Amino acid sequence: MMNFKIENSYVNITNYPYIERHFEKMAARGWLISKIISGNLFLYKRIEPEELDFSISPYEVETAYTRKTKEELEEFQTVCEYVGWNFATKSYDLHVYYKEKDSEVVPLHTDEEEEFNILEKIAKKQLKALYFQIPLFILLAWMVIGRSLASVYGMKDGLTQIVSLLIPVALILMVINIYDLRKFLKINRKNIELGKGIEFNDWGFYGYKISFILFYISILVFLAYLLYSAIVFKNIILLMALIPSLIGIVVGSLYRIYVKPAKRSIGYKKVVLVAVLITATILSIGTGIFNIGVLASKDGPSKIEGYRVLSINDFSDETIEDSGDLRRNLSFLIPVSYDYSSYARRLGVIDTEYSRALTEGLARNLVNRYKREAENRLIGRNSKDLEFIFENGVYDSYYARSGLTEDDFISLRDRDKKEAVKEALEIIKERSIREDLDGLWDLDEVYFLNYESSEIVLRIGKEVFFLGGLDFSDPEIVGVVKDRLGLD
Amino acid sequence: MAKKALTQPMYYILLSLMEERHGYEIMQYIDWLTDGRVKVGPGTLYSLLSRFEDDGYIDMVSDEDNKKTYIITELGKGVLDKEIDRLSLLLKDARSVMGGNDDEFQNRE
Repeated sequence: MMNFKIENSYVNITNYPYIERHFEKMAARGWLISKIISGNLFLYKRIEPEELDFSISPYEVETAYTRKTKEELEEFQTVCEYVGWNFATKSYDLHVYYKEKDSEVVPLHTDEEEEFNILEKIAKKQLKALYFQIPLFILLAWMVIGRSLASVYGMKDGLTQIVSLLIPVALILMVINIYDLRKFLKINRKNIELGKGIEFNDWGFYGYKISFILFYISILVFLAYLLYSAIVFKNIILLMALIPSLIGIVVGSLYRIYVKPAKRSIGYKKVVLVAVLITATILSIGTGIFNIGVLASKDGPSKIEGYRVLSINDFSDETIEDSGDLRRNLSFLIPVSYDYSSYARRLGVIDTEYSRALTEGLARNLVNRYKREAENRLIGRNSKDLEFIFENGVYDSYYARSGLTEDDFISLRDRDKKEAVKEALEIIKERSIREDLDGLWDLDEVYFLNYESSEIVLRIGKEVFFLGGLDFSDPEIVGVVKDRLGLD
Repeated sequence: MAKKALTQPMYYILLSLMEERHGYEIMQYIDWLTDGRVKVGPGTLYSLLSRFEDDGYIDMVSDEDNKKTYIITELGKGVLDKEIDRLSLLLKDARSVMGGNDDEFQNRE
């Protein structure tokens, strides 16, 4: 028989009397609340079924932004116990007490106006935190969901897709929370002014419960993905990405223990907050925490057997030392994908990106993403230089390699500079990103991604290959590649 | 807060701090003073103590073994005096009406 029970529920300052009644029912069934995690995971321990009265008391706990200290909380708890209330647990600023049913004990709160004053203070604090978090989440949503919807990596990377699901759920939770708190304050400011009691509600209870279930499922999938990626793919990048959070938690905890921010002035705390945000940003960028690709698993050339990738050795008569780098990935949309960069000194790099999409439609979408990214690369690479040459009116033969001829330049140079650059970019894009009209490859979809034909994207059914580093318009190379990748 | 009338718990807490007392002692004192008529719960008490301290109505005089002792300040006494005056006027008016001394109002024409 299990001696504990876990329940997904929700307690906050707007609904706690409903939760008091719930705890009473649970105690009568033999379950005493023993811990509340993040306001919604209720842990109960088994007891003899007992008729108990529960009372939840709002009392601000020590944080960097309150003046309450741990000692003050301890004194409060001691007095509560003196008068006959037993402490069960707490959830942030809400403290759960219980006593035997109908025993004569003074209630924890004997003045509703004062109780509302505490609740108002806590609500304002929570609203401030939510107003601060929402723009950060929107920024994160823009970055992550944008990447998931548009980029090649977003389609292949499971983490991006999991976080893309997680962010809207978190945002919905925040919006429900803000609405709930504001409504609670509005109604009860009026009630208190009119001498009425505090009005609690549980209107959002099921909304919170469902959102939390979705949130926890996403977190579990996220953790499973991290572990799978680290153990099966030997990809420690994702685990390494947790290091900044761990450092933050450790430094923050030490700061709270040794500096005791509760006793410092609000001005001091604000300065510390700004300093921490700036330091975290500088450290993250400075230490290249966003570019830790070097930490990816390096399985080496011996591990590419069974993988449909190109190696320098496929194009050489003698065996060359291939310092290859294989990275595997998985996502909901692309269940199988891996990249291999075959590298040998003096011979350069040959890149292969293999993806097997869930459906053919997704594979087509992936091809489009490759084309769009190639387009963006061309624009990024050429825009500034084109502005420069049209400003000076002198053609650079370097542009012949991009597909822009001297004749094109002469026909455009008398036009308005912006228009000329735009037109030149269109020419470059048109001549670079092009279909294999000669049927050299004879596959479902084939697009060269640059003028020199050294980048190409191929699709055969649900499979997509991106190749780079060779002249993929050379029939001899096409033959070797098709043979090596099994595209015949 | 000074402009607004004190609530019952506010009034009795300030009154009980005419002498140095700690939290639990304040609750017991109020219970004794009012013959159990007025009860102040720990949640209400500690919220008010914290607010009074911030507003300068009371001072903490000692903090030993998680037991803070407070006493009313001059500012707090001023607030309490005003409340006592207000309550006296309320009582005077009530006595006047109940004692039938409002004839003057009835015959004001």
